[in-house]
Amino acid sequence: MRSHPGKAVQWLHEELPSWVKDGIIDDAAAARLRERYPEQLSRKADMVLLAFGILGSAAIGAGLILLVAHNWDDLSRAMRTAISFLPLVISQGLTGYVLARRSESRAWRESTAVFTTLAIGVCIAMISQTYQYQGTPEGFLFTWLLLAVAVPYLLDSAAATVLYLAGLTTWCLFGHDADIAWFWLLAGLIAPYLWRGIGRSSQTSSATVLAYAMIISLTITGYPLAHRGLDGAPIVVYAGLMAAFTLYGSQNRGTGGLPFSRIGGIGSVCLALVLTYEDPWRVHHYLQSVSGVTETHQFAMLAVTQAIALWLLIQSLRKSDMMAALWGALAPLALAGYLASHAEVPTSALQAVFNAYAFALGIFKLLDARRRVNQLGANIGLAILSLLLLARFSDPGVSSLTRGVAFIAVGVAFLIANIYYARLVRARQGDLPCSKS
Amino acid sequence: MFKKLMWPVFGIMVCAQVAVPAWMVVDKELAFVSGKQLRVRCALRDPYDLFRGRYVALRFDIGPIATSNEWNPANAKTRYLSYSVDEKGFLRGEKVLTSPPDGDYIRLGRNVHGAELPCDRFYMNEELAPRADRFLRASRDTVWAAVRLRHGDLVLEEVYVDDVPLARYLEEHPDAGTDATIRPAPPIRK
Repeated sequence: MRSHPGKAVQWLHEELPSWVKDGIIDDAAAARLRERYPEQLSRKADMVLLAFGILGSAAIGAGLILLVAHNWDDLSRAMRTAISFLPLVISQGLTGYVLARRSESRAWRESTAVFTTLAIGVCIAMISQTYQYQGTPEGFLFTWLLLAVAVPYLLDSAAATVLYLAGLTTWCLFGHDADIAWFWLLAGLIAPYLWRGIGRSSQTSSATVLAYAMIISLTITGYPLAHRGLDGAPIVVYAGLMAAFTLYGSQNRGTGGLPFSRIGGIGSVCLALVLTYEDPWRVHHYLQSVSGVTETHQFAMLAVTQAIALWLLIQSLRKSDMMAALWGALAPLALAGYLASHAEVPTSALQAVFNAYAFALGIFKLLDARRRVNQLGANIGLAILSLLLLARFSDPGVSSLTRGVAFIAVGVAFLIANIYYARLVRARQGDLPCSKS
Repeated sequence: MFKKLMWPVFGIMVCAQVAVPAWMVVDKELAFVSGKQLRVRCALRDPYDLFRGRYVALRFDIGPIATSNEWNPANAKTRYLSYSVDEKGFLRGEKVLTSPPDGDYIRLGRNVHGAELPCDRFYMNEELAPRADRFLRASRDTVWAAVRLRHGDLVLEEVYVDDVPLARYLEEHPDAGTDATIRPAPPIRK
């Protein structure tokens, strides 16, 4: 059974009785439509069951971990060892049962997957504590991740994948230079599942959750992976990453691109505003010969993120999607600014460029929102302009009176714009029940 | 195709998930059974491991250590410590080397600050660990760690105070480590 947006199905069920009444369709056709697009109530019940299943498993796993943290001094080593294996053995038995008998139930699969993933960590932690195993948190996490990577594949579990990504992100934050290769190995092991999970059924809740988890993980790990080596390079890497997210999201509107648009858009605006300040440009730029694992890796990240962003930007330009292209322009602008700062171009000029860029983003977003009759888009455009204005007016040299006037102007602009767009939306909506795009 | 691979993958996963902790157990048990027991003087701190509970960080007093001339901190991977046992039966480090010497040795980590022994954490009851820290700052000389050495790997067995396990000592002496006045720990001799 294919999945369909919840709101659309809900609207259909609300409309069907009036269609039958008006003779547009007969009862048999209405029944076929209800069967093809199941009622939201049963789906909601499934979701509630799923949520409680996952929470219950997580609570059990967390409780077991707290038991570990308490230190079991009263038991013998042999007893502690036996108890350490118990959650793992139980979880493996449950996994086998689910695979054999309950594979069609998402609630069973997800909750078992969460329990198994946590049980692996509990077992290793308890053994480490019992036998006074030395080592680092990142070493512990690495072992945990390697042992848990098969769980999402076996049980088709988005929750277990989210746990894996959380663990991978944490491991990366702990990690050191030599672990870069291991990071990509661990990421590569889960990549096929993410590719399949996000791509095959892009509008299901699990696909959305996976997309957000992946994007957030990449965003957080981008800095520890990219900051070792050339000064200032993370700016360019992040610009490429956020631009790529935004462009991909805009090119896949309605087919799972929303998480990419949202995170990419927020990241792009934040980065653009940060680059309007002097500090990010006042780094010691130097282009040494690329050598060593870390510098080569950093260069590769820079090249890959910029290349992907550039390719997506060209796709947007070919489709004449100028708004998306403007978002995507952040990547080449950041690269050009980075190179220009190395060429001793004054930082004030670079700041001016990004002030102009942020301003253009806000203005064009407003105009695009008017064309699409999109009130949310209008608010986003106003928010960008307001943030830019507030950033400039946050200078301590500006008087309180001026700042007060600026804030009031921003507030009034928001109110006027919202009233205008609300009227525009009502004028264009007609009888359609949903208007947001 | 995935359906056909499901059970083999499940089997491999189960084996791997059991084998790794089982090997961890076997490795340490072999050290406890057949490893050479050594005694090391130590001093303690009191940090916390998110995943494995409260532990006491150990610092060891193994005397001044000579560093091998060919050792370069920038390139060092695994290093090795030759040692002897003093007249009181405590381990004394002799020299840090870049290759294993003849006879017994201790395999060190990749750190670059002298000869830090690899077993630097002692997991204990979370209610006793803070008291352990305060107590040992005041009576460091009587504290020592029992370790097992097997094939260069050092395994921490127990921490003793006057030949009594640390946890039991604190339980038998309720006043130990309850003094709110904490004297700064004296520096370890290098």
